[in-house]
Amino acid sequence: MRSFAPRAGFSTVVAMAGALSAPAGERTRIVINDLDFAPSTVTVHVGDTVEWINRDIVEHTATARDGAFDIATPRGRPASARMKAVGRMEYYCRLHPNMVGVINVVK
Amino acid sequence: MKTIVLAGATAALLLAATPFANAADTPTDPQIAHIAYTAGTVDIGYAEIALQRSKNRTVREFAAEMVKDHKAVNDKALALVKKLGVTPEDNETSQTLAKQAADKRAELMQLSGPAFDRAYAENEVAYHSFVNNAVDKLLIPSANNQELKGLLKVGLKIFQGHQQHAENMVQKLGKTTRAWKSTASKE
Repeated sequence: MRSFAPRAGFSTVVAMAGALSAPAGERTRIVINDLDFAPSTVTVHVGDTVEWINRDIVEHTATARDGAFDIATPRGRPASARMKAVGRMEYYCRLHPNMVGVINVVK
Repeated sequence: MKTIVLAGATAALLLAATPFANAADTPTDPQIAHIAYTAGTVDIGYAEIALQRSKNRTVREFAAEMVKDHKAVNDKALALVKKLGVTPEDNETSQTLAKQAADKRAELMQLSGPAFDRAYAENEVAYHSFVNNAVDKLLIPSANNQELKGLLKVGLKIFQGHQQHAENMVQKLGKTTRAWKSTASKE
């Protein structure tokens, strides 16, 4: 897990790896399959949690381009981040940068 | 006749030496399985050298990823050929790949420090570019079994990700080298 450790800059989200206690707000799931984030674009409310579940044969990350979050998405285990501020966040996989997605966070 | 657009001189030389470069015939599924497995093994070999020789964190993380990813794809390929009852068949393309890789490994073993890091990173870009072209233009169109074709398609997306990641690594190393030279010139 060393290389996938979250980086600095968690002002807009709280990232969580694995199953933690139930967060406030809704939970939106994004499935990673064949190197695609599906759906590739989601719209959530402030306080909601976005959860990635990786069904690929390799590990990935969900990494915000603005540095807001950088979380590992290991195979078969959910990883999540709570959205704390309004905005449009583009993210990608650091290991396979051809994988991209967008999270729109609204009030 | 199938032709392949290759990214580098090494790649052009490699496929020019294979029976699939200019011949009308295409590889069979057992040959495709062997070529794909060999290509993954070659990159694991490069990565293992990087893990032995490099002290650069970016390079080491990339190399560790290559070992894990290519092993995962090769394990999946082995499981598939077992399920299909196919025996991978050695062929001239696999042999040429292995020979070229041995030469490159020997070249890399002569290097150390930033020179090694740069050579490894640049080779990763060139090698993935070559393999991606071969998988896209030759192996996928030639595969008859749909499950094998599907695995090759997923593999191609993974390897295209590696190529982009390698390109980012080259860029990052370039910046590091420039910063180092700039600091050194002030001293």
